[in-house]
Amino acid sequence: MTTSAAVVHTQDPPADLGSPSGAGSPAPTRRALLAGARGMVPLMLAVTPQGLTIGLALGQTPTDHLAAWSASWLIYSGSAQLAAVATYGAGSAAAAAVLAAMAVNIRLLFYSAALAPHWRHRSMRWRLLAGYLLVDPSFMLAQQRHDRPGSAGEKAGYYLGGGLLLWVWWQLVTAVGVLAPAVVPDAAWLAAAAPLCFVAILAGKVRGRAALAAAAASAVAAFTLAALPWGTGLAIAIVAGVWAGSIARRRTEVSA
Amino acid sequence: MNLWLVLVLAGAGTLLLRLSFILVGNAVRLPAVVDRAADLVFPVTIAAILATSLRGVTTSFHTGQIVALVLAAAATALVSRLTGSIIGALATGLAVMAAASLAVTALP
Repeated sequence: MTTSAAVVHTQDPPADLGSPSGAGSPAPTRRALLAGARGMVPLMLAVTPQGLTIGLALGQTPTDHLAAWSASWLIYSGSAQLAAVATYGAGSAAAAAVLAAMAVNIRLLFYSAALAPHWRHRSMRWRLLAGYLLVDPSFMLAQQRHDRPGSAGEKAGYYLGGGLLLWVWWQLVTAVGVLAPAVVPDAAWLAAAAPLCFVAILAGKVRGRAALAAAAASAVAAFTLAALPWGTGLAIAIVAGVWAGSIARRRTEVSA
Repeated sequence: MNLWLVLVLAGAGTLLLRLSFILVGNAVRLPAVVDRAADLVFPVTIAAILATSLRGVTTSFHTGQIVALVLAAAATALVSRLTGSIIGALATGLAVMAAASLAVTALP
């Protein structure tokens, strides 16, 4: 039983794909790109406070502002950017700063594993670009789109449209945070944008016992372990959630 | 090592994490147990990120703002469930959050 948006097709290639090399994969249409961009808007709004805040924090580290902001396109992952720059700015060894950023991003392995089956037949160039754009919001967008009908080309275009818009937006908001800290508002309702967006996605998409058990276990673990360094709490929570969901699914299947 | 080099290495490492399964997807078939669990990654990740962001937000909120956030989250979940519109749900939640925050501030 499929209970969430994350439907992963692993056996049969989508019907409209061309050669297995991906050379015949249909190019994303402009309409699909625009649809993806539109779909990204709520997530873009949700990450804006985080982008401004991270930009603000990056600007306050005792480092070159241009280098600090460049983390936005070199690393392109909010928490990891901050981890790398802050660790380096605090005088730690450079290797520690690199490791800190990678530890925070360990969850990207899970995203990569979840999306790989969908993108197996895309061209190498497409997968390189899509992989670079893979962050929390673009992962959510891809998973939401894969749950709905449409061709592989449309789904690929949808992802790229949303991912590219988010990338541009992220560069802008972090730059504003670094260069113009005075414009960053300090409003409680704005800080609530990210959690509320995640509530909207979760409530709309998560259905079924296994997905609910997985989400609940993951949320409890993440909340409890949030203080662990380098985002390790998040990675542990993801593993714990998948484990709990798998157990719930097995029990459901046995009882059925 | 200067900051630029740190960022380039961290960026390269992050890209490797992102591309890991995406690039080997054609050559390697994931174990069945991983394949079966893959559809759980989405709800699990959203829930984990939600909990982490809630933890971050609530540590800086006072009690009234936390109450406002709970009301806003309930409204968001309800609208999302009923309409399926994420942006509609988010707009509703933010409106409730703003209104509830104002109401809490206005309380004696």
